[in-house]
Amino acid sequence: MEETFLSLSNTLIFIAFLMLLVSLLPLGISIKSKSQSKKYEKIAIWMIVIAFVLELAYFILRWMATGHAPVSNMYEFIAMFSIMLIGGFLITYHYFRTKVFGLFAIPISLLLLGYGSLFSTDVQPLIPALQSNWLAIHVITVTLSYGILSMSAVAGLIYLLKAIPAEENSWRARWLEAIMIGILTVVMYMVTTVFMQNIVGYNDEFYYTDQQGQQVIAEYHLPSLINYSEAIPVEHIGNNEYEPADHFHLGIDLPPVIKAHTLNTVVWSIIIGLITYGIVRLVIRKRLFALVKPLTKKADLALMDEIGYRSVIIGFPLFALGGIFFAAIWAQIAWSRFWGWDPKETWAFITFMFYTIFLHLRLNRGYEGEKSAWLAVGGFILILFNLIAINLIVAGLHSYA
Amino acid sequence: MKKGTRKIIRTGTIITIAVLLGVTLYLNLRDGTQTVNVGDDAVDFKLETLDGEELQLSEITAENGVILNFWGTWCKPCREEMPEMNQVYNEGHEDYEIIAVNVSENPQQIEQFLSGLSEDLDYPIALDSNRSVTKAYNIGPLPTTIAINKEGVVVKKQEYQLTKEDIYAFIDESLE
Amino acid sequence: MEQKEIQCNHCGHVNPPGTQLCQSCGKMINEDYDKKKIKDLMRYDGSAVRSKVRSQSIFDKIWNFFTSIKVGVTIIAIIAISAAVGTILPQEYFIPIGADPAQHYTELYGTFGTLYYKFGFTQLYSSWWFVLLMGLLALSLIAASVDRGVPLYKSLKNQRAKKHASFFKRQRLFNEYESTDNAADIAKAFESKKYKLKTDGDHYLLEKGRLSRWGPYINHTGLIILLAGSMLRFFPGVYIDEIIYAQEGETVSIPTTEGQYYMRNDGFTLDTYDEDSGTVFDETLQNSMALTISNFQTDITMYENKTADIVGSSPELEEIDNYSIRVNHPYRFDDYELYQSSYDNSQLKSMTFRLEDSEGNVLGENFEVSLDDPADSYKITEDITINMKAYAPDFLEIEDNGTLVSETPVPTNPAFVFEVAEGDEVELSLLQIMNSTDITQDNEYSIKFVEAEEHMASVLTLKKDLSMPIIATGFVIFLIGLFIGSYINHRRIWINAEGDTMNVAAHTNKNYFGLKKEMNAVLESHHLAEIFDKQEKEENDKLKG
Repeated sequence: MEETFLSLSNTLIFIAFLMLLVSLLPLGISIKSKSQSKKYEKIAIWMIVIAFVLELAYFILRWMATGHAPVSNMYEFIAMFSIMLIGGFLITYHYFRTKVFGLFAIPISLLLLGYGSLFSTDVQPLIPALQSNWLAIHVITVTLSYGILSMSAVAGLIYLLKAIPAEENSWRARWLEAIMIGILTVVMYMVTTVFMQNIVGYNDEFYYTDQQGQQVIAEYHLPSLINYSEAIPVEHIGNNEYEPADHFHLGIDLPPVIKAHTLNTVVWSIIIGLITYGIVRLVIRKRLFALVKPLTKKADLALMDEIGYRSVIIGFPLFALGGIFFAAIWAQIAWSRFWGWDPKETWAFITFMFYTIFLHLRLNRGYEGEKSAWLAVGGFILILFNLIAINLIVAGLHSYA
Repeated sequence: MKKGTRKIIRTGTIITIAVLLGVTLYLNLRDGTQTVNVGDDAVDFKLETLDGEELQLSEITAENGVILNFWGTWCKPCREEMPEMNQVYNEGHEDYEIIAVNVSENPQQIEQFLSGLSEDLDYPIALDSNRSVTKAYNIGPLPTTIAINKEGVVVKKQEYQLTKEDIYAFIDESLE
Repeated sequence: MEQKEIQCNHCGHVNPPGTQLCQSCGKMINEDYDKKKIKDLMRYDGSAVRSKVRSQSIFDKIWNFFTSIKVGVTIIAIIAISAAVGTILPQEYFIPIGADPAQHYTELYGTFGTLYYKFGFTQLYSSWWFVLLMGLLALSLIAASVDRGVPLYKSLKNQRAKKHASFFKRQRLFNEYESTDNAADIAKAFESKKYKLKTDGDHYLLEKGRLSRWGPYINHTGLIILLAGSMLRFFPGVYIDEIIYAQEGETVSIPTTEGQYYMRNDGFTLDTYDEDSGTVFDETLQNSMALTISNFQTDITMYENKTADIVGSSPELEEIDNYSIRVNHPYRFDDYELYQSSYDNSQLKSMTFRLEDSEGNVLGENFEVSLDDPADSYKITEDITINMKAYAPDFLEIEDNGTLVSETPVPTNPAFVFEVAEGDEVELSLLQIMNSTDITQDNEYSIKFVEAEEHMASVLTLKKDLSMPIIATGFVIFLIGLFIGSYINHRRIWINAEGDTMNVAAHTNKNYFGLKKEMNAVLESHHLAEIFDKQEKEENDKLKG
């Protein structure tokens, strides 16, 4: 029975993914079109709502299949975050009728989901530390708060795309372009990984000793530029047996506290992202953000600013509740200390401080409009850093991938 | 707000925070050095020796000065230090006693170790099997030697190996 | 020289020094304020935020410095950046137990590691300067809150329904209507939307959600309590964090209890998930290289020592409790808690050997050597006895006079010198892990290794934290204040129906969008025009221009 739930759950989220992708078409038309007809908008919103319901079904079915809240590994967490982004968009649309929001929120959500799918999507039983009701309480509240806080970043991005002229020779234009390059890099990373892993089947294994002194195999789906100190290239000859092999390795070695194979992927992504960007620039002859800018023509800057602020004022207390308070309670019960300043906790703290600064600057120093938009985007980058960099690159108690 | 109230609040707050900070920082910095130091009272203890006798520190310090030598069989300097201590001990120990406190090893290992020394030890070997005495004295590295006088006060403490001169110095201190 | 109180020339109310809008009627009475710093007069209702007493004492100077939001934000930013620095390398709290920090950081991270350690970054969050920053944050929180909260409280408490015409025009939401007939009806309509009504003749003040304004002050109070609680941590006896290492069957004394409490490890259980259990996890488990642990726990018996007097004396233990400590299920006693932290099966408990002759025939039974307290001799057959001549738990090297030197007292790499005695003949051999060396020449017998058993030791964390209730209370109060301040809106609507026209103005501390919607619904139902938003017009003008 659980098997059925699981396969149904996997199918549903796949369908939802496709629906969201397709919904961008009627959504785009409804924005571009000069007619008063709300037909395309209605179609788009209905598709998104249905996709969201399907995603919720994925969540519930997966919970039923495994017996625990499906928020226990990287894939499940990112999937949840991605679902909450859609949820956040629907709430924003309900209050403010902002179509253009969808054009940005949905692709970001899909990118995240795609990224999450690159991790193991297998269901795993819970290790002792995760066997607690607090898993669901803490993680669901955090992802909800992330979904809402992300809306401020979307609003901020739209604000900046509309407000900053495409040809302007300024630092703000360059920074906005940098953000676009970042998004492009993420896309290229996913494309590369899918290509190398699933199509080419590139798989170099290296045998190394991890932080706990265990002998582990690292799988490289991209040529090794960075590797673990004293790692031995090996070939899998079946049945957990390995023999030494000759794999390409550039030569940069790092101690096992850094997950070298993940960092390797990050470095490759940056290289490929920059090359792709170079090619794109040569072809379109203008900045990348100039390509996207026309989508924001009809956006209302004052409204974007208001949404940017509102999402933080609503999302931030939830983050303090779920990401700090619930997390501390659970950490006390599981690890005997409610706050240990480990990298994940510390960066959650930094995110907390960042949004505090956001609110104080806005409320007491008049940081509205463009300044607020930049801060909102910055906050989202912090959230992503905590999610990606800390989970993957810095090994430790709190890293789940 | 009245001027007077305002003044009290401001001054009070600043001073309170400054004082609390000062105390906190002091305690914070002091925390790393929580050992039993020269000048402190020696912690009394009761241990069994290798020969099966019972030793209580306060009973011995009532009459004599005491040299406590914390050691272990795996500690190389101990192997060199102990025979020298024995030689000095045998020159005459009317006013003082040496107690070699072994840090939680089994008798078999100790016997094996002793049989490998250049001479048999004549002073008592106390067995601190659950490390409670070692912890009470906050012993870090081994060997650590502590001299206690007849008032039960720690008068000298040295970590790491003692030379013969050091041993004499310890005995002199314990007699004062 | 202290600034004088200001008397409003319209209504006669005497206002505290520095007030910009009269507390009573809202007329502008003081243009002499820092227009760069104060963009929105209504943020603190026009009351004097920064006490305008010209700095007298050093305390005034310090206080005024810390009331600044810019200073507060800077302190927060410095704390955040410092916290980030502490994540570059793992903090000392996370390095292996018993490792020497200086050595550890240099070995793993080279020069960078050494420097990181020397600068104190490995214990960053308890370093003197981080503690100092927290202290400054506390001062900033108190000063900024008192300086703004007290005037705001007074202002909101004393506010009157009757406001000067200029006050109306100053508000962001404002409109002037030709007829004053609907005034009472409109007021009633708002009342049904949970507004509280206060009247002064034909002047109406409708207010709801004032609690929202206190949100920040409540949350700041919570933070101050939290900081005070965390400061208490450094006081002796408040915070204890120790590791207890107990092998199965072992009874250990609980540290810092001065020998009062003991516990015995009655058994350590380690369960793994069965990869053929028929659940939905089977495939994942089969593909995984290592076993997935489903549970590990320590069953303990707690004892109280009746003779806890002199250190080192044998305890007289009385059983007081039993418990199974698992992850997420700690054991509580007194002010302490015991947590299942991890386990250690690296120490060997015993090694079993057998004696073989030169043809490989096994003689007698296997004999088991207990590594903690090994026996001296083992009778193999009627004629043959094996004696243990030397034993090193963690074999390092052989001394000149033949003794085995051990690096540590922990049996992780044992070595033995065994003597096989048959009558008068003796043979000696040295046995190590995976290696056996004959000492005497032409040995007839050889000793072979059969198996080894590990000690299962449970690693528990002992915790006592008297500061936790205070820190928790502080954070809960913070959360309450944060939610109150963020989720509730303070809305006020003034209606002036005196005279020929009806003036309506409104203010909220956030979410003008929602306030407009609410007001327009009422206005529309009374066939009146929408309320006019000054800021929206400005924004639109900016875009067109």
